[in-house]
Amino acid sequence: MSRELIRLDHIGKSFAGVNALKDISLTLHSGKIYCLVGENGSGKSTLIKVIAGIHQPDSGEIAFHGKVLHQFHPIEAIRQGIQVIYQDLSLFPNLTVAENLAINHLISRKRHWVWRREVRKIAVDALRKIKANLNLDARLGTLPVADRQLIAIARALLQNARLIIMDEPTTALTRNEVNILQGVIRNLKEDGISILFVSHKIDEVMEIGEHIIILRNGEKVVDRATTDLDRSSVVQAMTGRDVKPKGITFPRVAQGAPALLKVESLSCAGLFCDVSFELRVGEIVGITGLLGSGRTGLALSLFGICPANSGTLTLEGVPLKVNRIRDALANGIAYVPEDRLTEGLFLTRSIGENIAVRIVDSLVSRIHLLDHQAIQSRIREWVARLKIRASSTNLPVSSLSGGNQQRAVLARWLASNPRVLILNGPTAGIDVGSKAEIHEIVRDLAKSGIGILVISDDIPELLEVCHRILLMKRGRIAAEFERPSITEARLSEILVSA
Amino acid sequence: MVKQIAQTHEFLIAVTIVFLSIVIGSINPAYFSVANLFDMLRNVTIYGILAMGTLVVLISGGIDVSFPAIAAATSYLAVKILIATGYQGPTWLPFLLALPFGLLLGMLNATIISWFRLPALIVTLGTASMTYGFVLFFIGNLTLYNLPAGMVSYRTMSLMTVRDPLVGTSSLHPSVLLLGAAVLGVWILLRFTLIGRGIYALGGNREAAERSGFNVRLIEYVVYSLAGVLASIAGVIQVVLYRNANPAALMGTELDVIAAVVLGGASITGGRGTVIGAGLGLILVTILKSGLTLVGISSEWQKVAIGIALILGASIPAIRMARRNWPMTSTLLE
Repeated sequence: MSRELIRLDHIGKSFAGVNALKDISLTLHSGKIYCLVGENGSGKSTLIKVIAGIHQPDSGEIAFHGKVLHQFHPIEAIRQGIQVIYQDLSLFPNLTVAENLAINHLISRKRHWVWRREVRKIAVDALRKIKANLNLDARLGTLPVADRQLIAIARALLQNARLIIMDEPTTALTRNEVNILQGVIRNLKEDGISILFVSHKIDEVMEIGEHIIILRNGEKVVDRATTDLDRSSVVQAMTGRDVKPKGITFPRVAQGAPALLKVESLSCAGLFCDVSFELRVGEIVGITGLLGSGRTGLALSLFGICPANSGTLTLEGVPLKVNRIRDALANGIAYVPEDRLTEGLFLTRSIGENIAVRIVDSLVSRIHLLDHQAIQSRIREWVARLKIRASSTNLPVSSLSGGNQQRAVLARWLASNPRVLILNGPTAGIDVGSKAEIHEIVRDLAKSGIGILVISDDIPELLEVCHRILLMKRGRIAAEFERPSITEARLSEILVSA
Repeated sequence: MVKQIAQTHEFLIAVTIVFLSIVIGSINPAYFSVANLFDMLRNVTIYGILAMGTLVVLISGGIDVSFPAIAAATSYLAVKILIATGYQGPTWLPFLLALPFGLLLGMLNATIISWFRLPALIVTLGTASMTYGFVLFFIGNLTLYNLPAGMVSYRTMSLMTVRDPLVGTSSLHPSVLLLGAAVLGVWILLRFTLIGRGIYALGGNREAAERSGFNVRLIEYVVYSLAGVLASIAGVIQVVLYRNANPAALMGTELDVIAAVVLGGASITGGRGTVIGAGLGLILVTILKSGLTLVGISSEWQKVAIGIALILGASIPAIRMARRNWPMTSTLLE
C-alpha cells in the first residue's frame, strides 16, 4: 500500500460570499496518477491554490505526510514536495534552457553567485530525471511548447517534488506531444511521484488517470478509480446533466448543394502542397492531421496570412486570389484562430468592442462618424444570438469564461456575414458543456448557408459536427471520409499511424 | 562556436565599428593615433557610466529617464556644499557627498515604481522634473565656476600622456578607471550573481520571476538605486571635466544614452542586453560623433547618421528573426 501524501479534511473556501469550495475531503497517495476534472468555475483552480498554499482555506485542515499544517505559505508547500506547473509554465523565454532549469534550485538554496558550470550540472541532472534530451544552450523562447512543458516538469523534479500538479498541461499540445507527456508521467509514477493532472479533456483523463476526482460547483461529486467509470458517467458528473451525443442526423442535402469554395492543387512552400477539395454551401468539412501535417498552414493560406505559391481558388464560381488578409475579408472568408487569447481577442477591451471591431467601419453616420446606437444594437443582437453570458458588454472580454470568450470571437466574425468560416480548434480549452453548445451553434450556422472548415485534432468533435473529414499528412490530403462511413476508433487509428 | 559568435548582435556592431574606423582612418590618419583614443575614452567616460545604469534598468524591463537630473542635481548639491564649507581638499569627497543622494533618488524611483506598480517611464519623467525644479528653487540656479581646488587639480591629472605630431598632447584621465570599475561591476552583477539572473528573469517574465521565489521588489530597488548611484558618479565627473557645476548639466542626454544601449542589443521591453553590447553601442555612437568630425562632416549630419544607425541596429535582429522563422513564426503553425 502506498503512503499517504496529502489529506484534505472538510476544506471550505469562499470569495466575497461565493462558495468556491464546499466541504472537500480527499486523500492523495504516493506514486499514483490522479485527475482533477471539472468545468470552468467548478473550483479546480481554487483547490490547487489551497494545496499550494496560495489560498488559505476558511475551514478544514490539510495534512502533509500525516502531519496537519495550519496557515502555510507557498514555500512551505514546496518544502513538503508540492510543485504546481501552471498553464503558462512560469518559464523565462529570454534565458537558456539550462538557466530555466537551474534558477529555482539556486534560489531555494539561497545562492548569491551563479557559476555556469554549476548551472549546467543542475540542468543535466534535471533532464536525466525525465530522460529528455534538449539543447541546454538554446534560448527557451525558441523551443516548442511541448519542450517547454518537459522543462517545467524537470524543474519541478529538482525541487524534490512528491506531488506534481499540472494545470491543463495539454491545451497547447498536439496528439503526439500528449503521448510523449503521458509517457513521462508514467515514468514519474514508477519513481513514486504522484501526479495531479487537471484537465477537462475527458478522453485524456480516462486514458492517463488511475483515479478521477470530479468537482462541480465547488463540491466533490466523484472520487473513485478510473476503472469504475466510463466516459458518459464522467460527463454527467461534470455537467450535472446528460450531454450525450444526440445522434445527429447528417442531412445529405450538403451532397447536392452547389460548390461554395473550390480549392484546386493549392501549394505553399514548406507548408502544404497540391491540396484540392470542395466546400459546398451549408457544409461543414473537418480537416485533421498531426503536428506539421499542414492543416493550420492551409487555413492560414486561405485567410491570406501565408499566401499560396500556386493553385487556384474559386468562390461561388468566381476565381479568387488571396494574397493578403484583406483579400480574404473582402471575399467573406473569416478565420477564427486556435489561440483566442493571443490571436483572437483584444483582451483588455470590452466584450462589445471585441464583437463590433470587424463591422464598426460599416456602421457610420452620413458624415462618417461612428453610429453608436447602431453599434450597440448589433452587439446586443449577437450577444443574444450566441447566448454570451455576461452581466454587461462593457466589461473586459478577459472577464468571460473560455466558452464565452470563444463565442465572442465567433460573434465578431459572424457579424460580418462571412460566406466561408474557418474555425481552428474551435473548442480548445473549453469545458464539455460549452463545447456542446458551440457545436450546436456551428451546426446552425451551416444550416443558414455558410460553408465551414473545422480544423481540429479532437476526433469526437469532428465526428460531432462535420459532414466530411479530410485527413492531412505531410502537407497533402491523404484521405477523405464521409461522416456516416467512419467511426471514432477507425479515424484515431488512421490519424496516429504515420 | 565561431558561427555562433558571428550570429550575435554584438559581432555585427563590432564589424560596423571596425569598418567605420578603417574608412575614417584612411581619410584622416589622426584617427588611429593614441591621442585620439585617449580623447575618445575621455568623451565616453560619462556616457559609459550612465549607459551601465541604463543597461541594467532596461534588462529588468524598466526604463529610467531621470538619470541626467540625478547626475546634475547630486553633483551640483555636492559642489555647493563644498563651496559653502570652504573645502579645498582632494576629490574623493565630492564623489562621497553626491553618491548617497544618488542612491536616495534611485530608491525614490524604485519605491514609487514598485509599491504603486506605476509605469517606470511616467514615474522617472516625474521624478526628473521634480528633482530639476527642486534644485533650481532650493539650491541654486547659477552655474558654479569657483570649484574647490582639489577638483580643479583633479581635472589636470593624468594616468599617461602622449605627444602626437598630428593631434598634439593628449592625456588619459584617471576617471577612466571609474568607468572601468562601473563596467566590471555591472558585468559581474549581471553574469555571476543570482540577483543578476533575477534582473534578466524579471525582464523576461515578471510573474514567473515572482513564482520562482525571486524577491522582485528587492531587484527593483537594486536596479534603480544602481542607476541613481552611477548617475551621481557620472555627474561629479562631468563637473570635473567641464570645470563647472551646472544644475541643468546633461539635460537631454537620456535619450542618447538609451539609444546607444538599445543599439548595443538591449531590448526596450526587457530581458535582453549585455555589457559588451552596450559598450559597443556606445563606442559606435561615439565614433559616429567624433569620427565624423575628424572627417569634416557637420554635426547636423552626425545626428542623422546616429538616427539611421539606431533604426538599422534595431531592425536587423527583427529581420533576422523573421527570416529564420519564415514564412511564419512557429507558434502560429500548429
